[in-house]
Amino acid sequence: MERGNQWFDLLPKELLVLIFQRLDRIDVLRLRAVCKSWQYSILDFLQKEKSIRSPLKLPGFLLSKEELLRSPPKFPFYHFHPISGRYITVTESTVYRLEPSQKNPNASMVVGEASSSSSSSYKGILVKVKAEGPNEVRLLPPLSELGDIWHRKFLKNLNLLGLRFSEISKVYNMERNSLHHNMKKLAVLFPNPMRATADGYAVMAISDYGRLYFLKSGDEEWTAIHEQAEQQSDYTDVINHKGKFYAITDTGGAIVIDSFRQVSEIAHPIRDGGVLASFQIANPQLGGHEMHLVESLGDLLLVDRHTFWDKFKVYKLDEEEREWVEMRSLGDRVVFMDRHSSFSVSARDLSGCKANSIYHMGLRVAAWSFAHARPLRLMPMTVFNLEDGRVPDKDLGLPDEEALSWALKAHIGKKKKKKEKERRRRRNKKTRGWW
Amino acid sequence: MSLSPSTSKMLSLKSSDGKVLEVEEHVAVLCETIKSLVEDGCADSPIPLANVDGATLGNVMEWCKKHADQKASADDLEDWDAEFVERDQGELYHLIMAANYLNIKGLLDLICQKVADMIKGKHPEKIREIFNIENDFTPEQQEQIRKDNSWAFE
Repeated sequence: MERGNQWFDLLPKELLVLIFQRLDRIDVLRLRAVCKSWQYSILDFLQKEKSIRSPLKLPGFLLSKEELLRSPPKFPFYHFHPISGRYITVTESTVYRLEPSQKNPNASMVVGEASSSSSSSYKGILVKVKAEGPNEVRLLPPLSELGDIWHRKFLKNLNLLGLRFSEISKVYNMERNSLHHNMKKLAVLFPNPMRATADGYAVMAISDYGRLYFLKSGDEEWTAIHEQAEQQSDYTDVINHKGKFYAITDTGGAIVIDSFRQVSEIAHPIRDGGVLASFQIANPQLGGHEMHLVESLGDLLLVDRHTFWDKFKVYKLDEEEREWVEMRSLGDRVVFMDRHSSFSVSARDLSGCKANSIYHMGLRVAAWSFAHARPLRLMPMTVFNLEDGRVPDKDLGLPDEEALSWALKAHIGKKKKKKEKERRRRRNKKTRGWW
Repeated sequence: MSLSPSTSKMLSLKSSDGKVLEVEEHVAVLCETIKSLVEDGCADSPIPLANVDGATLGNVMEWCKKHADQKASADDLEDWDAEFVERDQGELYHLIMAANYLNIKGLLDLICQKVADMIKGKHPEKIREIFNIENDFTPEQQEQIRKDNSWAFE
């Protein structure tokens, strides 16, 4: 097919757009370097398309703090942020592993002020990328909760073309931080990933009362998965695993739900529920168990965290036996968790990362507001090694501590506009002072 | 008008290179373009498809036949589709163009997703290699592109 070989750059713009819509922003920006006709189509595409996958707007209610304190609300999800209107806005970002491209091993990948001393053994770092304006992406640390607690470090001379991006995980974040609404966790599913477009999705979310709700695109209201009376334990986590939702309760019982809302039990609880357990979960400041789900090499793992001691146990799902089997070691894997997301990576692929460990951020409450019955401030990043328990903070030993803890906004190829700065200052002003 | 398999009649489609393909009507109407011709009663003579060559038309009809089959399960179709798109980029190009011309949304989505998966995470140089695209930038433009792709931080 000699003729066809020269033709791909001649693909009409409207068809190229259909392809670009299925790519991440980083990929689209890099494609500008392929050839003139693609560059032209992309500039046009980025101008017209406000956001490649627009934020999901999920039904919620705007509530004042006074109203909340007067009576517990009847509807599942509410928030306190007047700017958001009646919706809870969820945005998509992507966690990537960044490595210098093989073609260009000396590609500048300088972290912080000085070049990393062991640049020869340099592997990868993790970043979270969120598309904002047409030519603008925001680089975030892979784990995040509150914007203002990170140290600001700089990645210098970074060039998109000199780097390799490997997608690790998609992350769905509620806009504003978790102190502004009562959605504890959510998972998003695009039921037919082969034909994923922005209009068909299903969402599963957990309210602060540990109840599980389902919503598909177009629905005006959330559907509770269980009747209130029949639900015996609280849900603590839900994730998208192999194209289905998996949700777990505080006792370790797990269910799987497909995009048609068919529910079946997938694992028996690992501990008794009962009064004590629910008391502990309702009062996390007193200590209890918190169950998190994470996917690792195609397996579903349960990370059981004791909230007071901050100790972790890890179990793997045996789907046939419907059992959680305790794992004594994660081997080479490293688990990353925050309140929105969880993913796992091989330690071999990451600079300075300790294998067999759980890196977590913001799971623990650093300051509690008794008046509002809500966390005020959350803990910065901590590491737990499954072999020797907690890793002292000094031992994080990361060039990654920098990589993991910087938050900056990058503009590709453009100087920062004044207007944007102004907008951000205003936004910060508004956000402050809510609690 | 019934489009069920038992009553379906045959349509003949004529490709750009003059090949004539006999296709059952309930298969061919997966192409919106053909469907509207059938509905307008203009589908009696061989339908000329000036923008689709014979080989591509054959591939497209193979896809339509599979997807018109009421018995195929969703899982089955997904596996079949995954195999169907394992082609060289020349064939993929012709399939995209044909799916667009014949207005078959399912096929167009499928091929676009396949091409997107081929592009994902790859360096522009590698993409040029895969799709045989010529680098038509001048050295000056190349330098500008390098600048456009660097991050500027606050």
